[in-house]
Amino acid sequence: MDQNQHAFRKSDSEEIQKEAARYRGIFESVPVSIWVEDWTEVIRKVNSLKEQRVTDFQKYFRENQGFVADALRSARILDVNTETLSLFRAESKEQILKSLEIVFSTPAP
Amino acid sequence: MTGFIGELIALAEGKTVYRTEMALRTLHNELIQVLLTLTFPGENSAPGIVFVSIMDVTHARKTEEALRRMSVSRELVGQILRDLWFAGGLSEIILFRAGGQLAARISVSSLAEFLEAFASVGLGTLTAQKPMKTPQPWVFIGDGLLETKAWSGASTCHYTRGFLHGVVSRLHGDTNVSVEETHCQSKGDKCCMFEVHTNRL
Repeated sequence: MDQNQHAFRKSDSEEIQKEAARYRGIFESVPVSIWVEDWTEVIRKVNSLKEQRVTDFQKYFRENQGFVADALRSARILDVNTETLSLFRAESKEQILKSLEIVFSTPAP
Repeated sequence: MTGFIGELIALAEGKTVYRTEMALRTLHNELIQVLLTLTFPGENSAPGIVFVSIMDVTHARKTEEALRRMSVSRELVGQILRDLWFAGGLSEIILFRAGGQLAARISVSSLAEFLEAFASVGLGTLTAQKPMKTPQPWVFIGDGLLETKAWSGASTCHYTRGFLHGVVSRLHGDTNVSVEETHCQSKGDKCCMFEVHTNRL
């Protein structure tokens, strides 16, 4: 790698870091609660239903609460922003991630 | 769990965005009403990553509920007044005095605010027409007044007459005011019309 290529890569990396910091700033400062979740496993489970030729999903989920509970456990929360702490009156991101049962323990509509 | 089923159905049906309103709970055990939006992974986004945005609409929903209840209360008050009037339980003079008392109790200071307050409690709309030149009277046009009936053959808006008497007396510091209802929807006129005479107008 010559000197010019090295300089270019360094500058490129700095740009990416700046961009990442900019998006992190937006994520943390917007006045809306934002959650980033990994649904890879949920999507896999739902796709397996399609392969089994399930078409009436409303009926299937209503009659298979075990599948729904399993899918809910499969959704992994990766991050939440600062507004989320304010909205749910949590002191830290760790606290809210440990308190999801409280957050979602609401009366049925 | 019910909310999550909706999310799963949206995902299974291939939707890219799912929006719903639901109740959640804070860590202080308070219920909040939220608008929840899920954005499922698209062709150009990271596979498996779902973005969830949550907006608190608790205050907006409470305000809507308060307005709905206020509207119901107004309808009830109007109905009670109509029933009493039809039953002959309220005499002309009682209604006139009650209208005057309403004008005396409202804590506003301009004519426009008085008329707005009158409309806001569901008594009907009143608009003022300034006299072209003195000593002509002020004219108030009433529409949909609470006291109007389908057909009575006589002017019936005594509460409104009392109200206008009270308003003009307060605004001009003059108790020597007379209010006449010259037209009334109860008589089949297109609108109700009141002429207000006072020494200072």
